[in-house]
Amino acid sequence: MKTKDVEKKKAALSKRFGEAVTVTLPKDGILEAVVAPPQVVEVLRALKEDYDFHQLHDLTAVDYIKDNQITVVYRLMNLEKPDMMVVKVPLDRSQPEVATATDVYPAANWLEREVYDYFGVKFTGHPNLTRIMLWDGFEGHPFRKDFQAFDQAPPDYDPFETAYVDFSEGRLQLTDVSSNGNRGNGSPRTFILNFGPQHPSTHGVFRAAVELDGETIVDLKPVIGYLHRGLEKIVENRTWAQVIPYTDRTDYLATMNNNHVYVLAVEKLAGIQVPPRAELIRVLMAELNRIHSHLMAIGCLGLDCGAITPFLYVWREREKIYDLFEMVCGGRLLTTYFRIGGVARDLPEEFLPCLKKLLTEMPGYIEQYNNILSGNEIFQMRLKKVAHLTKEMAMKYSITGPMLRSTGINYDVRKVDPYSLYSQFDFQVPLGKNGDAWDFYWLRVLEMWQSLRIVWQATEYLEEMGPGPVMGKVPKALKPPAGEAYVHIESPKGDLGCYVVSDGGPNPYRFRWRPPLFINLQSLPELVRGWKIADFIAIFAGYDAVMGEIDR
Amino acid sequence: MLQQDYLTLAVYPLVIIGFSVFVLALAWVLRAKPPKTPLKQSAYECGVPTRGETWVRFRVAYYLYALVFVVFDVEIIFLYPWAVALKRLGLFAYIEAIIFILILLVALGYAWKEGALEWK
Amino acid sequence: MPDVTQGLGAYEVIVGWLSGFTPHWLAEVLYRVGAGLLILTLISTLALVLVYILRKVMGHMQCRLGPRVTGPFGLLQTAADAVKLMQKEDIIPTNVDRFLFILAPYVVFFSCGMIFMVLPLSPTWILNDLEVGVLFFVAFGSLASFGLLMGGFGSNNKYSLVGGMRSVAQVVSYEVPMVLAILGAVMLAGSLSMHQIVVAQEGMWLGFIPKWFIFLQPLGFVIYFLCGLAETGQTPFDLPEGESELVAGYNTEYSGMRFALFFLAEFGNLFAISAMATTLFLGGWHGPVFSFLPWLWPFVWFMAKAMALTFCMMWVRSTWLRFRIDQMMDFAWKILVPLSLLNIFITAGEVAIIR
Repeated sequence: MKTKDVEKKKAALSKRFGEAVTVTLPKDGILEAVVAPPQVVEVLRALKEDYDFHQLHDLTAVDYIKDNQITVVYRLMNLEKPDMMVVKVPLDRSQPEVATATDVYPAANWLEREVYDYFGVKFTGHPNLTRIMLWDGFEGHPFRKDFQAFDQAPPDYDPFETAYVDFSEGRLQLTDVSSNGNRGNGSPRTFILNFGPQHPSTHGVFRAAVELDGETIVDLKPVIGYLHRGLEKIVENRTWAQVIPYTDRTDYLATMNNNHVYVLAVEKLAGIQVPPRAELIRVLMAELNRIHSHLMAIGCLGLDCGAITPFLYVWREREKIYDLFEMVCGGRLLTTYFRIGGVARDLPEEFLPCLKKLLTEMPGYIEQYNNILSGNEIFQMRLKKVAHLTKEMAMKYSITGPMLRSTGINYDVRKVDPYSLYSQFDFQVPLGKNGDAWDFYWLRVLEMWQSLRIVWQATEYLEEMGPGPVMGKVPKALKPPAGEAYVHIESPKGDLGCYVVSDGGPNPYRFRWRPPLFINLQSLPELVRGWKIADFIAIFAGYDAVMGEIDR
Repeated sequence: MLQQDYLTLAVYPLVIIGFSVFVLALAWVLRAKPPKTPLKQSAYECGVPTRGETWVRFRVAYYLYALVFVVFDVEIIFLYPWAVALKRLGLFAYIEAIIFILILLVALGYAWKEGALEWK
Repeated sequence: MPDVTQGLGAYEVIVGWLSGFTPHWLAEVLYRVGAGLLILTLISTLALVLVYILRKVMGHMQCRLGPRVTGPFGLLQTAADAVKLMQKEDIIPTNVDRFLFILAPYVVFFSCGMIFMVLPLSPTWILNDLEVGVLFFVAFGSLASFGLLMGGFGSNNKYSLVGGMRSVAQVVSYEVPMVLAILGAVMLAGSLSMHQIVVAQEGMWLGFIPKWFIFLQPLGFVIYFLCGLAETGQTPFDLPEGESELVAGYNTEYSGMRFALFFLAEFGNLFAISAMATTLFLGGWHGPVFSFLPWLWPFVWFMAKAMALTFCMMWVRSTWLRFRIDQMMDFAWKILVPLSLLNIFITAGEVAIIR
């Protein structure tokens, strides 16, 4: 994607802010504004209100130790046009401080906490600047280049006492619980229940401290970080090609998509050409994985509402897709199939007939799910009109993916900013109307139909194309030139982005994963307030949360 | 014959209780008795220690449903003998009971309209 | 009133033999104890068999096989589970109300055992043919919710508490339509005695349609079946132990044999509800009697019908999903109660006017 009306924006920004803002246009076409720290909030507000960059796409930081700077990178987007822009704020490394962007973009809340956690950047005015992934007493900020790791472990203390649950943002003030359970601030009937890390339907290790009034949820505080492995830091010690298995382990249900975004970013950075057959195979695999991930989402939604049988039916189809993946690369869940410059190996002969067989059977299976699950009146009663995601809320929290489309906003990266070969495929993007849990579910079913179309077209193109190379010209020890690249794709969970910064060396200098689920999950408290426990489970299942991506 | 009836009624509950006590005693003999640790003995809340009082106050919705239930339960108690004797009593008893049930249906309708049947 | 083995003439033989060396009243009591133990054996065997059948049936409905390894076709699976549960450590968390916590499984199992006392397994096999058998069944059936509330309240755990309260609200709400549906069958039979109700379904119309009450009361049967599902806490009404929401509801803190008692009672209740539905609507033990072992066939027919209904319950469990609590309450009070009252109007009109 290239920024639109570059000259106009450049001129306007320079005129308005003068010295504080330096606007440049690097070779990837995305306008970059380097802003001095005191003017950051003003510039962001101007960009949001006057230039329509209404979505905070990503907020991260890069530690440029040689220049003695930590640069906070704000990536802004306009979903309708579409348009993208980057604001960089270089901060002094010894005392990095900048004003918070949460007044302008509420989605910056967790993102700034994450930057604080990793780099130690203080965002003044943030409602709750505490660590989000690591525990409270952690010493040091691990993503800094001069961080020395040493053996430290979290002490054994009451999680409610710490900032694991960010009570300071409003309700859930446990400190004024009196001895007979009544809360001090006038609501005597509520109690706090912990849907903790060990729970059958929290889709992994996720904790939600829920304040309940009987069955109705008054407030909810999510706690994440249980699966944090520090992937973004680990890969700084790996070569560019060795990073690919690590990308698998983020959203482990849609591994092909994760690989895809990373290799696209590195290819953009290093200017590597990918042969068309490899591109086609990549699209095929990515869409197959989308079907796979949505099957899991549907099954888990059913399971969380109490329907145990469809969950096992989707496993049957997933096994068939697993068999296809195994045929191609040997791995079932964690595939690591893509390589920088192409794919690992060509498709074996038995792949296409097997795939065609699956494609002819899939519509029958999806009808089966519709009969047992979508057509079930109780299921519809459980999901229809439950949760009301409005367009404003979706924009406010930078939600992407099927949840955004359920409100009616037509934003799918495959259509809006086509990458790889998607512009040559004929498919539609299903849109919802109500933004309720039913739309979250039904859109995934419809997207599966569209992915089936894409895979059919891909098999036809593959047969037309004939055999060819599947790997482009890539040097053995890849050292992309110094610079940075950002690529975003439509993963089954949302708008997945990968931001790589290179300093010319064999390892990535900074590897940033823009996790759609992490950013979507910030909306959970507001979306769930006022609904019942059963609805919370159904709504949370609609997020289709995979902890590997949220926590990385 | 009638006497045997009540004898079973007296003996059988004791048999059931005896059986369940026996089963639990058997389990007590057979099971492992590892030492008690505070962590094991704590309440389960998905791996996190529970906070706040556990015995919270009941919500009024439960009470309202119980209230409506009591009304209907009493109605049902009156309907039992009526149902048994209906064949012999004929039309008159039918009309009487219908009037009785209709009065209670009005009560149900009132509760419905007043929102007593909404789970808040 | 007929007693358990009277058809075979065993009553006189056994009591007579026992009176040889014990006082007569003790012989009577011992006979009853033996009969009671026989019923308890039936309950336990049924629970074991039903657990196995449930796992196999649900497994096959879900494209998988269910237990296969322990014993041929996995038949010893439940026995293995029972042994496992028996030797598990019995954890009683601190701060529980010990009295309630320990008493709850007993209460639930007690209610399950008591309702088997009035089930007419055969024309002569009914442990105690009370004249108010139906009322007895309903009364002890709702005692179970009391036990669940005790379990939920007694465990010092918010999950259990929410589960216990939900179960009471549910059972209490579904009592009303259930009894109203039962009253339809009672009106047709003219008696509350289980034996009499089965006897009233004797015979055939047109030579091939049996005179079962289900043909006269289809609505009543459906309402009773649904309410029976709700009373025992089966899907779609399994909110009290909503596994994906409340971990295990009132079961959360129980381990070992106490949990096994809850479990046993659940499956016993499952069968009891099916057995009651068979008695009331499907003609109980009526069925063709063959000359080979003529005293066994009514029992076989009764079990077959009750098992068929239990299979239907398992089928429903695999297929449908859970209601939300307010939807469930709405269903009970706003749909089932008016429908069952309508059923009563029609049936009572038919009985009073036409008969």
